[in-house]
Amino acid sequence: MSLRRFIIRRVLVSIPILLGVSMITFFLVNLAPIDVVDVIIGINPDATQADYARLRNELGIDRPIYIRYWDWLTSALQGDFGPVYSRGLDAGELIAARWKETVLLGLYGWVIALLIAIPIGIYSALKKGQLGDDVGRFAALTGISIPNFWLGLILLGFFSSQLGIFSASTPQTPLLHTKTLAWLLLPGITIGSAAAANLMRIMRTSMIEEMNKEYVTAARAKGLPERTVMLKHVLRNSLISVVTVAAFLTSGIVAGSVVVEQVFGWPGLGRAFVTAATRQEINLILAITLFTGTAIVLMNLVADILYAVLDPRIRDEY
Amino acid sequence: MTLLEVSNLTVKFYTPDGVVRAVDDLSYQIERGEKFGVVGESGAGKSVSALSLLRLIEDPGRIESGAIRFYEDDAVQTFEEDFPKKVVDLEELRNETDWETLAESLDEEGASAEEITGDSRYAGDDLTDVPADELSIQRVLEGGYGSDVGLIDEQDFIVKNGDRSYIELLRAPEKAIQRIRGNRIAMIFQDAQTALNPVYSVGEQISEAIRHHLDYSDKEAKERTIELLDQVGIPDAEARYGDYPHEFSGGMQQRVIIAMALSCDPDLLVADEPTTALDVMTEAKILGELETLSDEFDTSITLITHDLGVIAELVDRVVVMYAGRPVEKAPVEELFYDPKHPYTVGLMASIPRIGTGADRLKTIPGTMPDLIEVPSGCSFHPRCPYAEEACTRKDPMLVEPETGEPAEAEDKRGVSCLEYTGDLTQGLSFDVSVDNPAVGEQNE
Repeated sequence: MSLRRFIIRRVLVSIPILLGVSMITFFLVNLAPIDVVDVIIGINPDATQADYARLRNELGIDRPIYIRYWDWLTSALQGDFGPVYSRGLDAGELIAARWKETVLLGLYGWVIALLIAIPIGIYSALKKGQLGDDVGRFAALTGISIPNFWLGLILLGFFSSQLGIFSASTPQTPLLHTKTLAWLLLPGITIGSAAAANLMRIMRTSMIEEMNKEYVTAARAKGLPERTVMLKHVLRNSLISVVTVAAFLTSGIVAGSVVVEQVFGWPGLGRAFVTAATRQEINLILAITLFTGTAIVLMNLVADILYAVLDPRIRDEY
Repeated sequence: MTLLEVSNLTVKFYTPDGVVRAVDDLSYQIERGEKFGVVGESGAGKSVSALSLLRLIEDPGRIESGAIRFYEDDAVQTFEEDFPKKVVDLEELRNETDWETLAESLDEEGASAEEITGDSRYAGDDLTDVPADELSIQRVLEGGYGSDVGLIDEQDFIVKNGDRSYIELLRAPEKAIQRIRGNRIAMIFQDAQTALNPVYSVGEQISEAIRHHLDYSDKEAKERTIELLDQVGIPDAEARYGDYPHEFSGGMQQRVIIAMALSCDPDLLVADEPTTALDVMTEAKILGELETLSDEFDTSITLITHDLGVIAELVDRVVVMYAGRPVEKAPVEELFYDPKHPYTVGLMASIPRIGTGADRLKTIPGTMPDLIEVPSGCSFHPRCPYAEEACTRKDPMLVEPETGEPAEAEDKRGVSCLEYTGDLTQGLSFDVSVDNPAVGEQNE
């Protein structure tokens, strides 16, 4: 089956998945003991029981949950995620204003993770059992073991207070300005380190596993130079499992962004989410969760497509 | 004319359990255009010996000693141009050598006079006492003393010797051996499903070697690949060029592997159990095609198999291996009609035959020894019905059965059993009866 047909089918499959994500998000958030009316009225001593009831009726909270889900979904599809009460603006507007920061940080983390993991993983595999491999594996284990909020604080402390080459306040330049991108290096390393460590281990193991397969001997028997054998035949096969694991790691990067944005004061959705949670802004929580859920579904879609690009056997599924 | 000469090849595997002698002192020659067979039970060292030809032994295995010489003038010529510093000209060496000093240094290295002169009269003599014209440069090199006595450089691998020039494959640098692999000597693997890379199209996997070795353009390589696929009997070859291995049946995958091996028109095909994974019908077809292709391109074949039927069908000459060593070497008819080694006799007896009325298959009692601790003396003696006390002590050599002389020349029959050097007191008492199916029927 052709790759194009696979991609079309896989994209179509994503639609019910997204619907499922929205449903689960909505019902789970509504299980939380948050009363929107409490949030709106706050601790106003003048509010009466009648005020509460009227507001509940106006907001439609007294209706059954599946009707509320339908209402929420239809308006969300039109870009209306409901108001953020403490800010006086729409949840959708807030996401529109902040999503670029978070996506940039996440992608940055990904790029750093891949740039670290793939070459070192390959190197470790080729030098299996030698000193270089030991150093690489030790670094990987360290990377997995360090929690990212701690790493962020240490990096921040070291480069900002000790060396003075990193400004603790966020740059005021546009997002894609070199200054901003340079500044993002530290948060990027912080957010990508765990993924890098995981990917490096997978890269190494799967490469070593592939190196023992018979097609490698066959490729050598064809007289191909060792470089071609490794970088053409072995690498492509090893990347298959790396892509699979990378898809899983996306959620880690998304979750990491909450902490890292907080540590570095980066004005993205992660920070907005923390505010939303502490202020019990249910519309904003819903909107951000849906946004990150969609991002993860999309990343999985990308991973699956990459998977099919790398491995023709996958194209026959779906 | 010899194309490839394997001489005293020893391959060991350094496993955590001990050192495995997978191939022990194996020698044979393959003639140009010949179909040569290597037969033996699983674990006899057949595959390892095959992989050694292309230096594809991987850790923890190591080619310990021996030589593999590839006599191909064309290859010698191109290598001479590209590695001019690695050439040894025997003619020049003969003229330049100071024989007295050479004899002295050879004595110092502990070379035996018998080995260097190839004459048993000089056994035990010092080389300085041997007439200089009895010394042979070629034998000095073959004995592995060349670099020790300063005749050649350790890295010299191209040996010019008149019209018998050759390449020392085991000395060749990795770059040179890569140009031999797939190009001059190609391999057909046993299990096509694992030997093909699942993520590249079969066309790409064949044409990459063509592009690499023959410097073809993408388009030319593709055309040649389609031609090859067609030749090995893949229907609709052009349309299947871009298909992936998993889209082919087992038999078709094997044909792809064969096309891949043939892609650069090699001088020697090393076929390691090429049809074992296939059903008998496909096997017969593929063997037939292999034979046609080998005749058509004048390609030598080394066929490695445990299947005597396959040997009988395709091969001209056979070496039988047991526990890493050659036990018998013979033209295929002689091996089948007149086996000389007790192990070969056992192998023949264990071929199932229709019409003999036997209820059970004959087997050779026991199993092949653990190659970490090979039995002393003849490694077959624990299973041999004719074993005597001498067999546990003396290591048999591959000798001509009539004379008991070492069977070195490629056309000589060789058997490695003490019987033929006169060391056995009781002798071998097996009868070889050639079945005539008609007679078999009458008996029943």
